[in-house]
Amino acid sequence: MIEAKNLTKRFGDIVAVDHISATIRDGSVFGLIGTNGAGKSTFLRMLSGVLRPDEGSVTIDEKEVYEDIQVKSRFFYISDDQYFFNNATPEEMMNFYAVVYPGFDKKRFEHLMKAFELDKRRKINTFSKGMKKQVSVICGVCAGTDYLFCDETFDGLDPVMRQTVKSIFVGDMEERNLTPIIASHNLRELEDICDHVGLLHKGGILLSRDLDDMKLSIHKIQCVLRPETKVEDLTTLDIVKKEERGSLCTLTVRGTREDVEDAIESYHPIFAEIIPLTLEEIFISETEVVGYDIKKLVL
Amino acid sequence: MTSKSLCFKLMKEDLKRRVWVFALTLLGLVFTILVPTAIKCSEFMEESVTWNASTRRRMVENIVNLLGPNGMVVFILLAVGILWAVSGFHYLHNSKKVDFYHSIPVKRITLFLSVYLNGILVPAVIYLVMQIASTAVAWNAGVGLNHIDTIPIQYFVLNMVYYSMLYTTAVVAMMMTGNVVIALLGDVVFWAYGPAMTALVRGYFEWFHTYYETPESTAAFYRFIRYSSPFANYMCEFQIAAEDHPEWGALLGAVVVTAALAVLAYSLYKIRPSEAAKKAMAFPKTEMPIKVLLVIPIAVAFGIFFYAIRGRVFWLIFGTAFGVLLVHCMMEIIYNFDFRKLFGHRIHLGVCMAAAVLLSLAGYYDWYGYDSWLPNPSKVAEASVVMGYHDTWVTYGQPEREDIILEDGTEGYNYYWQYQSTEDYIFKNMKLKDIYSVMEMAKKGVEADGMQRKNQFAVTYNEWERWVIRFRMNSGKVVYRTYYIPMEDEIKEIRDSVHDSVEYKQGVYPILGQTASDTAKVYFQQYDKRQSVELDYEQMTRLLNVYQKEFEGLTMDTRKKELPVGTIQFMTKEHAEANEYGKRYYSLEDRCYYPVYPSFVRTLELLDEAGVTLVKLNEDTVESVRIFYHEASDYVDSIYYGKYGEEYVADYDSSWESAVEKTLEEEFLGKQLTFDKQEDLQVLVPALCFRDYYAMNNYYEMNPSGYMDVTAVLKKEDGEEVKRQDEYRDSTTVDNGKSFYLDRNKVSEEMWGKYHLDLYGE
Repeated sequence: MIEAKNLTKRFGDIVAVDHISATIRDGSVFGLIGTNGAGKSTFLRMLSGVLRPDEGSVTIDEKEVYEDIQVKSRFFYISDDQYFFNNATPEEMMNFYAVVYPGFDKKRFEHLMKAFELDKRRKINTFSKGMKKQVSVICGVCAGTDYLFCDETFDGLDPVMRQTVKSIFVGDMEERNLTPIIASHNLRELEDICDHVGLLHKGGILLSRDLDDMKLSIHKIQCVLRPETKVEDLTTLDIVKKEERGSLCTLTVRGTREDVEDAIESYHPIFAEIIPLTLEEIFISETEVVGYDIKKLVL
Repeated sequence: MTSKSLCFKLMKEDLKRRVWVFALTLLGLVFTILVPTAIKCSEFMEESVTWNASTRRRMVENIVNLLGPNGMVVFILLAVGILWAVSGFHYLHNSKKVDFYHSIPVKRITLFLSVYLNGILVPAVIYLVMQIASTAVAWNAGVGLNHIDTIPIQYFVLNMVYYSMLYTTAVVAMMMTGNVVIALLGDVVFWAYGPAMTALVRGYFEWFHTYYETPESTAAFYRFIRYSSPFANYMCEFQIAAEDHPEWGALLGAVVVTAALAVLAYSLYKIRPSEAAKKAMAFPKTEMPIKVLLVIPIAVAFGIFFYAIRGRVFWLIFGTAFGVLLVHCMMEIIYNFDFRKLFGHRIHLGVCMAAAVLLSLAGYYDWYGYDSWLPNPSKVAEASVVMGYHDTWVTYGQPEREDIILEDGTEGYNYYWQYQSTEDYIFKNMKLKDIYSVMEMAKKGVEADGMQRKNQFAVTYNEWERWVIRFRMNSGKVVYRTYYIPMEDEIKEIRDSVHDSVEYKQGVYPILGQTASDTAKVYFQQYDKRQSVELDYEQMTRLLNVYQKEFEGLTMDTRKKELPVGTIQFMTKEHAEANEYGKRYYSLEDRCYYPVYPSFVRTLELLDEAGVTLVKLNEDTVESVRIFYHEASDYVDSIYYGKYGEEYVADYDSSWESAVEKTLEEEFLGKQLTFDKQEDLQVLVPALCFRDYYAMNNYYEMNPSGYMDVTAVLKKEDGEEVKRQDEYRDSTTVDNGKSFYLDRNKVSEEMWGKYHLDLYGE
């Protein structure tokens, strides 16, 4: 289990990660989502021992990550722009990783290279961005580590490859209890794979919850209220966001489906329907609550 | 996996990625060792049969030098040292690479060692292979192993030790920075800061006109240069090795320093934040001290430079302020990689500006009180003085023996004269008790300096002397000062009293400390004719004692009135042996002559008793006097002599211009006139002053004419032949002409016109 306690990192005057605490359970997919500059990459770099936290600690099974080789050999970090040696081929990278990761599975590497139709003797610098991502993922899964830290790894992969990679992750999770930690701002990429989501915003963590819990605890209601009822009157509802178009109200509210249904029914609306929220809508709602106005970004 | 085997595997992986550096190192060393050795050996093999032993020996030396003190190898090692350091740790300057290297499960020490050791071991292996291969080539060509000896190994060790030190310094620079260009600038700072600071300090001392640099302080500066920069250290040790052999103690010291630098490099590597990549400096706390250490000295140097150009305090301040502004702004831009941060840290800028301007002005106005310092006479135990530029003829030092390879290739030895500086000798041997006179001179020097400072260094004196004074205080402390003293009559009296003291002469003339038991032979020389004075030990002791007594009693009054009549040499046993042996190469016999004045009556009597013939110049002994009158144009930029024999550089702006121009029409200019009639000789001979003797006593008061060369041809004795060794021809027989001055004071003024002595006023 990975545990971040009160994790803080500053770059000069900028606080990149501000007292984040999070727990990542083994065997689940942890999605780290957040806006640009939220601190996802910094968080992952601390998780992988690249950066030393200014405050707080990161532990894997209660052992500090920074400079502990035993601990570091339990994860593989794929950065958003993975480094490959100059003029190196995938095969050369494989040989290097085999030196530093004793559990590196060369056979599987070659098998996956074939499966992804990548030439292991071709220079990586001639590969496309997506192909490089594939090589880095293959290296990561073949390293045989317990954890795989992926920073924007799906960015650049085509939908087919995305699904393929996801299925590899799922397979490894089943076979050897792999725990992928995936940082992305593309919520749709994470929606169908993550079990748990950490939502970062401006260096701080907004929430860290199971995706199912999250989906179950926030809902969108489309309703038409009676003329004498105003949205402001719906005091029993924990409204996160409201939108009115004529008589049609769209409300994002917190609470279980049953509680929300009971509450809206108590106001006897002309029409009311609960519709599921996408992860993206949850993300936007939560960030708007803390003052992050997506409309400003659109402008 | 053990960390040792992991380190080895990582070294292998690292080498794979840096094969291009390997190739460049190999190429560099092949073309600086193997190829030149092969070329020289090929020449040696093909042509040595036609060479004589000396040429063959020189060629062997050349070949051996390629395996030993080979400057090209040093250059290549310096270049590849930086290359290995930069290529090895370049990843620290790139966040993508840092993420990669620092996330893998490898301890930082292992990662550091795998890269660091490759940078030493790989070049070492390549260099060793080159040395072995080149030695084999040389041996195969017929260069004996006795000539090669252990030189290739010695220089391999020497060069690799210093290579490691410079390489490790470059690694430290890489650790301290986040950008390759800044790291290279850091290398320049590490290599050049110490020597540059030494140069600046010496330049700054120029403000103190009374500063005297002793051999000890020169040695201290040299030591500082040598030990403050790895580059300078390497160059010094290489030079020492090339001249003699490597200093193994210094080499061991370099190994220790390298090890300490390696520990420092690793410590920096360990604490270096990964986010330092692409920043100028990896450790923000180092920015300010480095900036201050660069800005202030460079600004002071700028101030000195501008002052040297224009010589005004305004330009000194302008230069200093400009230096601060320029360097501070440049460093801010570099630190921030942003031109808009030009005037960042204005408080730092202000503090640096104030400090640098204050330092410059403190030197200019001598706020330290260095030049105005005078010791409390009661606290001075003794003093020594080096008085002007008189008595430059005295020979200091002694013969030294050196081992050489003789022309036939065998080992032998030779003697050379190991000179000692005048000041060195005098400061060791002079112990003046008359502190009052010395203090008076020093006070005059301080006053003159004060005047010069007040008048912005515009005051000049017609006649002045440079005195270096060494005060030894009661506490044992030794203080040196140089004074430029205007020679007014009152001061001349003080000077003369110092000169007349026995302690002064004992401190200046080594002959006064010589004993008869040290003395092997005595020679007397007059007008270039050298005579051996045949004496038994007792006679020699007597002559030496008498001469010493008379020389100790020589007064300034006598020197003003008399010129020596000859010179005497009491040759020490050591000198005699060196001279005898050294004749095979070059003569050492013309050293350690001392003047014999006409007033040294007892000495002259003893010489006469010993059978020495003394030539007296008169119309019977002088055949003719030749005078060559120079063209006026000959005098531009040439030296002529003033009333007291002081030297001036002539140009058309000087006061005598009109006097010479007046005579341009004279037909004798550019020609030589010979006077051999009795009536002419009767006038001219008494006025002759032998140049060499005047050089031994330039206190002598005479009125020489500076525009003419005077030669007196002395009559030869029966059968005497005077030969001159020509540079290009064999020695040729010449007449017995000697160079003299003509003292116009000894020619009546009505005769001046006849001999054109009135060309230059009086």
